[in-house]
Amino acid sequence: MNITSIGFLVFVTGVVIAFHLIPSPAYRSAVITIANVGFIGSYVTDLQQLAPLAAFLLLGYAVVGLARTRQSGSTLAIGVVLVLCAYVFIKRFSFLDGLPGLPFPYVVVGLSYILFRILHLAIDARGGHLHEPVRPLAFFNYTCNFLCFVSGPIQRYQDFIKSAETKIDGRDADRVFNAFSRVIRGYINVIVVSGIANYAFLHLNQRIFTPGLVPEGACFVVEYGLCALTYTIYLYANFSGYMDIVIGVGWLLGQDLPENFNRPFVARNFLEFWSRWHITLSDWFKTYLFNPVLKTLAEAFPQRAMVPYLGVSAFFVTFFVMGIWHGTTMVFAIYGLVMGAGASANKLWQLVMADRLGRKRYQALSQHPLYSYACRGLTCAYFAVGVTCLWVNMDQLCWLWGALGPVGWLGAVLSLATACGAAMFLQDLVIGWSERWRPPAVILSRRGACGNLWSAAQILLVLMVSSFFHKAPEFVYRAF
Amino acid sequence: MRLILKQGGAILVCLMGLYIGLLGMTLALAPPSRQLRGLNTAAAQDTIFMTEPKYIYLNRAPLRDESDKVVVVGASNVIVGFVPSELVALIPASASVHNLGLGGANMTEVRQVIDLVQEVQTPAARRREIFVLGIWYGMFGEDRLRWYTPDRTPGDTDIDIERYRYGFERRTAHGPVLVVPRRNLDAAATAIYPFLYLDKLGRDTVAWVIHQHAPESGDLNTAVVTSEKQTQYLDYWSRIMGAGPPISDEQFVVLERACEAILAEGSRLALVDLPLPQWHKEHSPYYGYYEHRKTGLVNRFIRRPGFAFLDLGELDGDANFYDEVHPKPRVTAAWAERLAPVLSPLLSSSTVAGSTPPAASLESRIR
Repeated sequence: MNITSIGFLVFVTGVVIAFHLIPSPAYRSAVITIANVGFIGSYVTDLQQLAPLAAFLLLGYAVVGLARTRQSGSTLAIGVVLVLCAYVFIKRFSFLDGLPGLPFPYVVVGLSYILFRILHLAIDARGGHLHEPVRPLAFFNYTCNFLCFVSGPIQRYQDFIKSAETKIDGRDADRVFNAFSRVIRGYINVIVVSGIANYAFLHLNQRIFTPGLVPEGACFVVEYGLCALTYTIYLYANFSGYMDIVIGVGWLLGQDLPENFNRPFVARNFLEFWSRWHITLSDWFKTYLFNPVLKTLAEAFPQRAMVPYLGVSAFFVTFFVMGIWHGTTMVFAIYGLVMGAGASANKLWQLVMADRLGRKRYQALSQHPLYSYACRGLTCAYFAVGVTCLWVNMDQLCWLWGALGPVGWLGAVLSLATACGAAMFLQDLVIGWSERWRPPAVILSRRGACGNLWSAAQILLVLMVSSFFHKAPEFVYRAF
Repeated sequence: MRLILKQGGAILVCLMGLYIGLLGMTLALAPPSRQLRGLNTAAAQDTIFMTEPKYIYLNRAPLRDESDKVVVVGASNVIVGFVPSELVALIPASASVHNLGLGGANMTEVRQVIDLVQEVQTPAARRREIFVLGIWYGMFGEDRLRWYTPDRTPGDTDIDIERYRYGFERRTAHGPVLVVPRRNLDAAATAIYPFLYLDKLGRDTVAWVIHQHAPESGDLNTAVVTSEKQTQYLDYWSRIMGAGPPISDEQFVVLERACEAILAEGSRLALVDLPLPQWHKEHSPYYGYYEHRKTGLVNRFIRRPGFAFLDLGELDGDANFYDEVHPKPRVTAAWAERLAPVLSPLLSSSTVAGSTPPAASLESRIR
């Protein structure tokens, strides 16, 4: 079920109405369960297609249960390995091409995020952080929550249980208005902003890869840079818009889903960027990969002077794995290498600069506007060039590599960094200037006639733009 | 629950109020009556519909009446080559001429246009109708090469896009299904005027910003296709048609079925083999095979009542074209002069036949 489809809107409306018909927790839990089953069912035409997913869930539930009851490190380790093997088998990573697979088509949508939730539950169960046993229905509703099924956010189980108890009463009129506003803002992002960016991206992408249309020399570098930039805008608007929609709907269903984006393009370095982009995924990797890796390295190399530099390696491993997670082919391994290189180089730069300049002078330099905008531009440019791996296949990447050459790649990064830095400077100027318009903007975002009219105008804009782009943009992260 | 319904209702009321206001403004700026004259997709850009497929799909009211009609269908060379004002002057005054050519169409899309025309007509109206179907080899590119591009839902033609764009039809596994009943199509098209107007405004603005303008007919009449351009055009058609000859049978089958469908409804059909510049015919790897397949098809239909065939091949001089396929404006009168004698007997027979299907063979050949 595509979130931009009429079917999804009808589905969500039905779920919200059914949910609020009777204020009994058992009834509401049943509604959510039926909604989750219905949502997953929309991806299949035959029950058999759900079998691998069901088996994966059963395996996950067994591992969580055993980890909680046994409280044993080895049980957890065996369980995690089993779950990972099942995941790799079901997802059909390209290195398994020679091995036999299942002889029928099946659903893999949402599997990555189910994996994260199962590992979180198993590790927390082993660590004694789950005070109550995980009941089967709660396990299903947590791992397969239709709002987070396709692409997160990755909510902690403890928060999921807590938010299920949230009530909507007469004092929550503002919350309801904010929920509607959030959903509408999500559609603006997905359909208007990402739709326009996707339109431009497809046009530029076609020029880059169509023989006879490929521009030459500096024009090629510029067009590639624009292509990378429009894809990045598309990716951000599409994914953050999706989050706005599910978080807004969550509010109407009494669920407080965690935020997943916090203005990532104001980040002044690559590591800060990842604390603002896909936050719940970054947090998950920090908790369950970065920290254990760092701890293991620190035990292996206990020298005090080494500790900061161990972080460089831990960042590389974490971002490399995070990159590989995005897909099953070689190009995603390269994406992981690029992200890992970016994160570890960023950490190394911080260490070297602090060492050379001293902490205070380095902090002062970091506050300097010119340095700050240069860093913001470079962060944006590096990310935009890095995510090229998400819109090309291996052959296209090799061709791009040869066509651009080292000078071309460097030129693309630097020109993008300059353009992004300048754009961010201008944006900050405009925002500063537009502060005087803040009172009218506040009225539009408040509950009341003006707020409702503003919401209606935005819906109209969404409808009109979606009719221009006859094909609504796909939810891009669904593929990962 | 009450809060949610109240909030949803408030936004819905505001939305309806805004839309009604916009609709009123749009109808004042672009009254629908202006769009209801004889159809000509060449003029689509000057109407609120802007694009050819939208113009055809949303603007079919003039095709409903039960008078004699000539409906020209085909690709862009049909739009350029058969000018309704030139044609209407050469055929009986009672008949109207509608040019529903569609740029970049293959036979699948032409068939869709024919179906769109027939589905808004009564059986009596269909029997007073002559389809002029202009063909050349470029219209026989397979669907998988033509309609499976990243910017569209796989397989959707430009006509399909218009079916689904405003929700007038919905996509199913068995093809499009009507959401808006045909009898309400005109009212529904009027109801979406704000969308159409904003679309037009957007496109006009983009055209103004990038200084896009249609070439003057004087420029086109003096255009010369250089050998470099010829190579580019041939490369382009190689990409459209696929790896190489022969052309797939798929689109010839579609053409044959389209001819059958037209004749089965009691309409007449003039199949026109459109001319190409000599250099194009000589260097295209597809032309020979197209000729072979076309001849076979014409031979099967030529004795059928209500069918006529016209070969415009004699107008293939290189100087008659401003590119690889489109005739210069000074040549279009000759196209009309050759088509009119083919249409006249078909028209008189449709008038005589009235509500009964034609009985006599009406074939006419100029070859």
